[in-house]
Amino acid sequence: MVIGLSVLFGLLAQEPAPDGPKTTPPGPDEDTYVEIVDVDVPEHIVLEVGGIVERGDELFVCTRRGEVWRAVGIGGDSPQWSLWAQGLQEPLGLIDHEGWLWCSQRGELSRMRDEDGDGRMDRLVTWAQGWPLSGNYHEYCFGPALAPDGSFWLTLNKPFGGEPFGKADWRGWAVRIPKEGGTFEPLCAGLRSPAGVGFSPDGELFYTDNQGEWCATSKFALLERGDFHGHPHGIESCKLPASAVEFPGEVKSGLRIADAASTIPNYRLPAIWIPWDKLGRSPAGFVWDTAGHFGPFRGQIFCGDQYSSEVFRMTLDKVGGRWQGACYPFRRGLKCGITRVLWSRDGSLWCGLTNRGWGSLGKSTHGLQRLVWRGPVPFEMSEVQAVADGFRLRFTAATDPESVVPDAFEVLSWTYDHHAQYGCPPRDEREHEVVSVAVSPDARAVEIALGDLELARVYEIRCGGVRGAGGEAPLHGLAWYTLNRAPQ
Amino acid sequence: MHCSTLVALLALLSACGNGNRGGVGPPPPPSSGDRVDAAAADILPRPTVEELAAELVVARVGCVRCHEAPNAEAEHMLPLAGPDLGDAARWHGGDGGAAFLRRHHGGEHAEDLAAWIVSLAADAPALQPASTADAIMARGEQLFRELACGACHAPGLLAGLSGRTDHAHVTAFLVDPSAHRPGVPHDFGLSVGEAESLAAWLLRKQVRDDGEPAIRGFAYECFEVNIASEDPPDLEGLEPSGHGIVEVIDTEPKTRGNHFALRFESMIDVPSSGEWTFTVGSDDSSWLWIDGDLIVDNAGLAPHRRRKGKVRLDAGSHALRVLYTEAGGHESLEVLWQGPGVDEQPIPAERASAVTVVLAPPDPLPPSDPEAVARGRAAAVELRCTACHAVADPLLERLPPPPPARPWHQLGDGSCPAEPAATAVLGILGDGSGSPRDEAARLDLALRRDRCLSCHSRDGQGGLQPAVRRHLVDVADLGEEGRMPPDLTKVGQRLREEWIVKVLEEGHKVRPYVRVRMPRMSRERAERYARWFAAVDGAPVTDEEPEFSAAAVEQGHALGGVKGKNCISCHMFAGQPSTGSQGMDLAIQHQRLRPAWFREWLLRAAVVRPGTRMPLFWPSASEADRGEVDAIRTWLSLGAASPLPEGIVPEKGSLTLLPTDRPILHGAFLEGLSARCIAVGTRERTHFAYDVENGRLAWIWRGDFLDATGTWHGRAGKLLKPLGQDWLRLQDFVIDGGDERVVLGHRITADGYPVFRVRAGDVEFEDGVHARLSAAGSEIVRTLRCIKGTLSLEWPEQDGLRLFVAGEPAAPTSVIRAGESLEVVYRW
Repeated sequence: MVIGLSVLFGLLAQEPAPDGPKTTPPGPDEDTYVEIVDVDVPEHIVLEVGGIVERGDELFVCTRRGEVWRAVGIGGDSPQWSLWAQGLQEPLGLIDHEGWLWCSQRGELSRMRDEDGDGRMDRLVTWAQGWPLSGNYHEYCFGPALAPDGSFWLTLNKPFGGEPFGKADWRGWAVRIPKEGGTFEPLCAGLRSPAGVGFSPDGELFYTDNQGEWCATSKFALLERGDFHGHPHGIESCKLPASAVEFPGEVKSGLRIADAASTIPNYRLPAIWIPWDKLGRSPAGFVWDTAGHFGPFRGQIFCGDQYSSEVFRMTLDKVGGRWQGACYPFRRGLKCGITRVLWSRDGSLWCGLTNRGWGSLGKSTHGLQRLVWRGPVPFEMSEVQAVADGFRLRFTAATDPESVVPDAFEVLSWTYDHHAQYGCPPRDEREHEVVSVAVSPDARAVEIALGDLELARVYEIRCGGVRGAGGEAPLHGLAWYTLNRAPQ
Repeated sequence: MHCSTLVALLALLSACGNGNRGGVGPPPPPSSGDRVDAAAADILPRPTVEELAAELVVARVGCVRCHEAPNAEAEHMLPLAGPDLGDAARWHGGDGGAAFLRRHHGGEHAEDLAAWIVSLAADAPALQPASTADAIMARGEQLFRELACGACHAPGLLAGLSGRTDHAHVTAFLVDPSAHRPGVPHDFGLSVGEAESLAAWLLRKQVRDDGEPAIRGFAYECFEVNIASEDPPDLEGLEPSGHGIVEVIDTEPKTRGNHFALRFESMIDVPSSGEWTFTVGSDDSSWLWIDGDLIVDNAGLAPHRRRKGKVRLDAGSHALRVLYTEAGGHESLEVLWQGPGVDEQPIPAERASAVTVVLAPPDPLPPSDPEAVARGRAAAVELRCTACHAVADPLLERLPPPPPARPWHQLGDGSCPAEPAATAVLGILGDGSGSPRDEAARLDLALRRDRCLSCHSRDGQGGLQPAVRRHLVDVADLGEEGRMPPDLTKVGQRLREEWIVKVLEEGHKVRPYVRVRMPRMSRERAERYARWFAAVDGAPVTDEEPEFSAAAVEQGHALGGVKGKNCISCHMFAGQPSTGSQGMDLAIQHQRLRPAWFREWLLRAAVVRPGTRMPLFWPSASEADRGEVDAIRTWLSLGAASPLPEGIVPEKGSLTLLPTDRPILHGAFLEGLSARCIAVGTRERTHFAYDVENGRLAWIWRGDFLDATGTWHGRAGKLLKPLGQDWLRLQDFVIDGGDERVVLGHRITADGYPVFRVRAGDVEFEDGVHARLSAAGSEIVRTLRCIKGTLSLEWPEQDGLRLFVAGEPAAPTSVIRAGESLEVVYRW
């Protein structure tokens, strides 16, 4: 292995000064820019959040205990919490649509409302049902994601363990429910634990999946009719008449990702691999910041992680007609794993929390917190895009062009195996030499050229040596870009 | 049995002297006032105290097993059988057996008899030493006192056990006395751990005097054994491959990499009383015991995983044992605790002491001298041992039988060695000239023979001796009522007969705070006592239940809650803790107390039992007051299904669902139904479950509702079953012309009940279910309303279930047209 010069210089630069440890004042950190605000919830409410809806001054939260709690006066100092509905089966999504609250239960899509206005739900309509349940705890149902055409999408988890009522069809599938309800169409197969699902501002549907068997690391992927996402648990259902997915045949274990993509029929590569334990472990709900709530990151995706109790960023980059992109650290330190995120009308981000059954960083087991953008803009690598021979890095503010030299960057890459084992460590890790750098006229973008790009790999890009115009270091200066295709 | 026993027992009687309360002695002579009993006085005079004492002796010794007596009644005078001699031989070692025979049976044959008895179990394994700890023995002593063992046993007499048996046998007897002495009322429901502690203390004279001082940490032994299953291996008799004391429980002390077992034992010092959670994490299997009781079972040939167990512990020393097995692959072991004031953490070594004490049983006897055995066998024939003892000795049957013992009436010539006390009994049993016995006298005798009065007082007699009583503890802050066995005066007026039977047969713990326990006895004997108490104490004249009505239930329910008389500030309710001291559970009182007594007690508790903590809520005992008391009675008549009084607070952290106001709807996987069910719990404590997947009312039950642990704890996904009682799995109606049902949703009524909307083919209907209290008790009401098409259905007959429509038994079929409704009432 060739050790890049940049690494050597980096090591040298980190040698402590001979005259003893330096005392530098603490630099800016995540908390300088993003505040975590705890939401006070009465102690008797076990708010294991499955979904959140904000409606005017009211907040509705559905919980894994099958309850919907309503808080009135969320803009004020002492919101009043009360039980709005109960008896649901682990609802893991809640949306507000046409005057109803819609939720995904394990076995149905339901819509609910309070018709007599007494503050309690009194009508539940089962909008669609019929995907079977084996009775395994892991058969979660995520969604609904509301499509521009008024239809709904759900992602159905695959079981993990005993199936007391017998093996069920359509597990690990994404299903579409037409606007008028009543039926469901199984359109994508091979999902594992698709804990987040939602439409982009452009009306395309994405989901997050959690690392595990046949899912080398967590991912963010487009859902399109007929795609197979790699997990073979539910592929027998491809043979049923309703299936929109061609039966992929025997799925071999141990293929490199590139080989899986080229040999498995309709295999859909994720847009973004989210490297396990480098950036969370179990991504869940996500939102687009179309309004610029989080300062310089307008248009980007913010996603919660159920284990690492952090919200991270993602950006999409269309190359060769396909989405790929990058993910970045954003804000760690919430008190519990995050299942759901939702923009509040005040521009803060609601984070719904629960870690029951998997554990997480942080001291709590459930609850609600908010992320509030404090105002100042950090110097940060805000977006990575692929270019023909490398990457274009955009920054939140002008860089000091003097600092933008090849040694200011460290680039690693790796790929994964598509296999039956639980998760996959990085395979074929490489370090890449930055051959040349170029700074844009406004100094806010930098292009780095690498000598040896290869596809179907994750590129870890660090820009620790780059400085802002005022000499400041990037807040994280870290990105992971999934290179499925390279621009011509 | 030899007559010398009689002499010994009578000597014991006189040694105990008059005025002895309890123990084996007779009570002091009752005052003349006490002797008049309303129910029995008119019929027969009661026996004198001398007669009673003599009868007691005859009943205990069993004279009539040999001396035929025409008036001896089986239930009255026949003693229980003695122990099986072969079984006894297995238990005994040293010369303790002969010493026992000398003391209890006397005579010159003791050594020969002992030799013969030992020969009956020549193949018996030797008595085994046992390892224990000072703290275990201390706990045994505490148990001896808290359980008031001293009410019957002089500790000095039991100390003789050290000379003749071992720890394993005493433990086995305490855990299951009836296996060794059928019919002896000695089954106190001790756990294995309790029995081991008690046995260790009883055998404290066996402690070898080479004990080491306590050492901080955990004593371990490693065993190299093949681990082929998830079951704990049998380590008995295996030589450990390593042993020592460590400060941390982990796999470090292993002596090889695969196929081994580690056993850790220590006394742990629990810093505070309360609920303690022990966590064991391991790859592969592990188990954890506290005081001999299995708390965590983490068996499994699997990667590292943790399991937890909870146990309520008093502050102080407790015995910890951890067993770990490793088959192959990775290995790991961790043991954590968590309790009041202690966060989850490994058990610190400074709270563990690894001292053990060895109890050495008496040495095995040398093989019996065949001549002594033969002499003993002959003596056994002569002494008629087999009249009381089972013996498996074929040689015994070959010996000529002894001449028949003289019949009882011929003993009255002064030849009986038990003179003079036995003379009184001779008169009764011998020729019929003595006083016949009535129920009161029989009860008196039985209460003494079974030693009931050693713990209980009745009519001013009996009860615990002060020396025993002072060791009792009042754990619930309820004063004397919180620690003493209850007084039995007029118990036949207080308790229903069925309840007396239940208490005697099951050792029912209606007062969990009283540490002294009731021994369990056979149903036959329990029923006899119940009859006697009812007859002797006299059932009340006006013993009628108040008329049941739903309104009375509601009134009583309101009175029981915080806004009424606040009964739940001192009384538990249907297993839920009270808000104050944990007095007797109210939900069983209807089943337990006779109605007249219930009224009497509530209206005049302080008069009925001076010093009671039960307040006087109705001092004027007016008509309205009586109405309130009757309403409470009516409310409680629903038992565990009585609506929970307002103010009951679920225990923190409990996932037991407790409907107190509006119904609770719980979506869950229900066993045998489907993964899409809604269970509905009601404040009427009459619950139901609806199978949403199949559109059927599936279960109805009463009492406790559901434990949501399977749905709400950890990864959940467990199949639930009802708690409570009266669980009926319904066969739902059948719809004519296609019965594929789809639930289209539900609405919630103003009082919180779901009304399901169901489609079956072209028919749509609403299916509303709720609980109701009526004059017939609690019932389920189902309202079917047809919305579309015509709902034509058949009601299958089901055992134990009756359906009513408009007060009449439901017809086997119903037809409901669109717009029409049908209300069906479920009673069971």
